[in-house]
Amino acid sequence: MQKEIINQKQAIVLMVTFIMGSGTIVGTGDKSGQDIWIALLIAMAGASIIMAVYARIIKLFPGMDLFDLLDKLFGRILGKFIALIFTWYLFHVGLNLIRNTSEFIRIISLDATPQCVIALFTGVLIAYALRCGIEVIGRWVSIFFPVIIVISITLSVIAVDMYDFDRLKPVLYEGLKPVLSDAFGIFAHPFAETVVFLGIAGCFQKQSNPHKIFNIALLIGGLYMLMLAVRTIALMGPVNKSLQMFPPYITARIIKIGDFFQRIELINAVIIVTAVFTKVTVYMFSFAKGMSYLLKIDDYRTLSTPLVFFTAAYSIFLFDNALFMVKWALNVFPYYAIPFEIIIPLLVWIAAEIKARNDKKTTSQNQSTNSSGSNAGMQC
Amino acid sequence: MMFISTIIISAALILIDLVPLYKQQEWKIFFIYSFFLLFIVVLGLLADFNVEIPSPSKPTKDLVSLIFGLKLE
Repeated sequence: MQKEIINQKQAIVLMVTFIMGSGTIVGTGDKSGQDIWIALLIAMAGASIIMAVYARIIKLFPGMDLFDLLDKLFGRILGKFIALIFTWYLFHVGLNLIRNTSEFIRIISLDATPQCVIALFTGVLIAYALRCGIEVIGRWVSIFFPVIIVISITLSVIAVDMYDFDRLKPVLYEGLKPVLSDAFGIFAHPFAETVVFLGIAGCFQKQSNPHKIFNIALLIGGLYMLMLAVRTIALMGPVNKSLQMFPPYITARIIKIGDFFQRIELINAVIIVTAVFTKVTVYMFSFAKGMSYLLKIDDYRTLSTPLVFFTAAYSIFLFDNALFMVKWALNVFPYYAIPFEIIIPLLVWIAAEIKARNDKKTTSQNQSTNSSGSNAGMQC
Repeated sequence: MMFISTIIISAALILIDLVPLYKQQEWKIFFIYSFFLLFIVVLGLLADFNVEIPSPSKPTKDLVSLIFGLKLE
């Protein structure tokens, strides 16, 4: 099978859209209220550390994805076991994201359509994207990314008159605890979720700099989230925000210029669906790669189609209702994700450092043996 | 509704993917593909009969509450 490659720019754009992802549906944390911007900044600082670990793993073994690496670092049995756990995480979050998308579409517009129809049709799109491959996804995101950014900034700018920045005060009125709690939530979802890119790191260009990809994506994605959070609080206030199920979407409903330019939330819905679609496609891509590694199948593309539809069909049974879905995403996910986003990458990083040093030592020993051998030959 | 949707999708996938796989005699991927397709149809059938299917959400919530001592609603 021909190897697919995405360039550095496409990787950055893909990661930024990924970070925008489902945060644009369920919004960011709900405990810190008007201090959400502080929580976001703390989360970005924390994420920069764990993202440096992800980037270092890719840098040490360029052109290899996590699943190839697990075999090399931990051997067949332990490698397969860790791959199984990680693949479960990819499947579970993929389920969650498809459910988020279908629930969001059902609630905002297609309330009479059965949810399974929305989920399965979302599945059709994702399956098609996966069959086209990561290169096509990369190019597609490169086209849509400027559109998303321009629309988001335009929405934020035209609402300037409606902002009430007093809603961002008082600062730290409830103390630091709720802020840290939300910072942890935002760290896990969406910043540390970029661990998924370890699964598709084999598609990055070998000469691309993973540190640059992660850092720029964190900066742009973080600033976008910051803009969204401040806009939501300045327009709605923390109390109204906490009452809404999809705050970023509702915010766009409030924005208007006079009487002729209003009810523009559907434009925002397009951004949301595009960003979440990208995110779930990356998850499913990585999941298909993980499953093809576990089942020893070379072509992940053929396998990806039934996997996507299986995930879409199973997503119907994931939550009893939308409220539980949002609560799970905000309160349970950050803790649930710790082993997958922190512990496994740290283990892989330590093993990768040791392996890389040993490889280097062996190579230099071989070189010195060869050169001494050739010197002896010349003396003879 | 879910059962009909899954049947339509499975029929399309059989035509698009399974028939070529059968002709190419790629048995391993053919059986794995068929297994997942069967699972999808069964899920659709169970959904239409309102059968409760275990979801990982509640066990993970309980596990997180137990390990971290959190009181989650």
